[in-house]
Amino acid sequence: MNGSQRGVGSCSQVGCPVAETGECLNGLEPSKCPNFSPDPSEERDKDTQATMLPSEEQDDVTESSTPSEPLPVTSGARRKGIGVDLPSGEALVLAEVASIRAASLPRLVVITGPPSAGKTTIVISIYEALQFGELDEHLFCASVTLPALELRCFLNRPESGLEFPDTAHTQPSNEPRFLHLRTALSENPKVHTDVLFGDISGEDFEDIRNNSGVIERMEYLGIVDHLAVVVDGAALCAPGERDVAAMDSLQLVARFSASGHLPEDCEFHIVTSKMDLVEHRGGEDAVAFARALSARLVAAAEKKFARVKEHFVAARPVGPPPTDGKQLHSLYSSWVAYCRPLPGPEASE
Amino acid sequence: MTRDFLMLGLSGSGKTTFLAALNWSLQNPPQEARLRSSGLADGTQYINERTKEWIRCQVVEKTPSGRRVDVTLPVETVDGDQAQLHCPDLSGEEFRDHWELRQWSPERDQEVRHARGLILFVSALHSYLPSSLAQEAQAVGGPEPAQGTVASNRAWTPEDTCLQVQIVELLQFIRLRRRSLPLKVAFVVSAWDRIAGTYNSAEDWLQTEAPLLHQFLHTNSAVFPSRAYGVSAQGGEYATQSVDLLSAGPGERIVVVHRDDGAPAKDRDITRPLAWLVDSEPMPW
Repeated sequence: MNGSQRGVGSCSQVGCPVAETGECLNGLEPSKCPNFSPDPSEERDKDTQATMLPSEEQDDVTESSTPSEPLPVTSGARRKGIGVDLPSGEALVLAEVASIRAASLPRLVVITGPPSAGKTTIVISIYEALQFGELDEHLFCASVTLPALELRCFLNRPESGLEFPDTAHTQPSNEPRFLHLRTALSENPKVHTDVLFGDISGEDFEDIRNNSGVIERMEYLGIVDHLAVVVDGAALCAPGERDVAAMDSLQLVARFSASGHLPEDCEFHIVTSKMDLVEHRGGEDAVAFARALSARLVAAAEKKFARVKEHFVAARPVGPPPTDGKQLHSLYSSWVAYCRPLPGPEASE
Repeated sequence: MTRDFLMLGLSGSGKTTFLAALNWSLQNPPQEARLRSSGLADGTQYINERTKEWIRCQVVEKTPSGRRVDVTLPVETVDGDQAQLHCPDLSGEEFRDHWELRQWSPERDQEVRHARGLILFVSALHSYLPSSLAQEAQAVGGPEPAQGTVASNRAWTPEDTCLQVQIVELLQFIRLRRRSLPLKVAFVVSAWDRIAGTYNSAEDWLQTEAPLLHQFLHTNSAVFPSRAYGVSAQGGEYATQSVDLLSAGPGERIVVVHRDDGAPAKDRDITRPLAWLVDSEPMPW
């Protein structure tokens, strides 16, 4: 732990000059960095020091992070007043993602696909499954973006005034945003894993499909652990539309495969969404088409990526559940299970 | 020696009624009581007035909005150790500030930092789960939604969020602001008489009625060691049962469901949540 002067604070990161200069090694406001601790002489009085735990009692573990590290403060507008400001809970920006990556080994997941394919619905359905205790072996530990998740769930609430669930369209943005979940497996509830989801609009990925060089401009794609291409199951129900959807998704996979910006050791996922519609509305024909298309996409991705998986999900099934169920838990399990290995000393040099 | 404990809960979650029954019980302890009164504190008018209302089976006046009432209870343990328990009774309206305003008062901040334990009240009469159109649609089996044909006529506001998420955020903020952890949390599920027979224990209730919160407590047990207590301080509904409740006498109305000894059990010792918090102390007194 670096030393600190009264009123400044200290940092657990080796080499961070915050105690001397007030500047964070990660380029963040010190209070927003998870490695920063405010000046102990101000924050900790004799009473609280007397009850500090012996270290063996602080035994919950966030992979590669300090055991009882508080969650990082997130940015965003706060209501002005005389009170003590608390984190806004808004979706994270890249600098905040970097600070979490510096403190732990989060799984960075970016879900791509055309507008309305169900990208955000997959993420918020995972969050909602946790809310109802229905994500099988996964248990909720924390989130620094609860209001952001709640905002995105709103069109699935009766309070929205809607009759049927919907998901707000993610707006194209120059600055990507990320949602956060920290979960544990029920067999080992004290080992916590952070998962960060890129909340990127479908239009941004249309841009990728149509123009070369766009991927390279998306900085975050160079550090992803998981890249998912979502095929819109609803489009597979109509004979004309299904071929358009196939062309779009094959082009998207081809662009990703051709780019040198994506890490080759990231895990690549082909996700066919809305399988309830494919089964009930499209029928056997549509199901066969969906499976054949998924196989073609997997084969195309395997030319570049070593780890390719396919999934068929129904995040919000209507009526009887599809043959394979929602499959959200297995999709989420694969995201939690894999993290790209850290670069070795040679690579980092 | 003074020990500070923080009592938090929504308006109507039973905080003041609990305090009134606790005040009476400390002075009239049942044989099994973990804590009992060791004397009278100063400034007891507020809590004594609420206790009289409770004895008379009158609805206990809730803490006025925006007001905090400091309640100090001198207690001794079964071993004869003595302490002053300081429990500020905060209005339920303040409970939501952290979620809706993303800030809390400097006084609350100090209480959060220095509390030796937290009593969190949830009511068996409130809903802690979100409502889900998707679940409703799945339950009725269709018809399929006509995507994009109807727009929502209002925007999301923080108060649209279900209570279990607000409580999880509260605990996350407490963790963030404190420099001393762990912090023991005693959950009091109030109005237990209304759901008696449905759940074996208050923990079962939490697992079913607030699964996200239950998971959070389970996975963060090193930071927030917790126990859950089902408590009926009233013993029943005043509107329909006041004659029976009055004739039973104050102490006989109280029901506490707990697992302090491992297995689900029931008695009338309303000091249990506080006694468990106190028990975690190094006990220098």
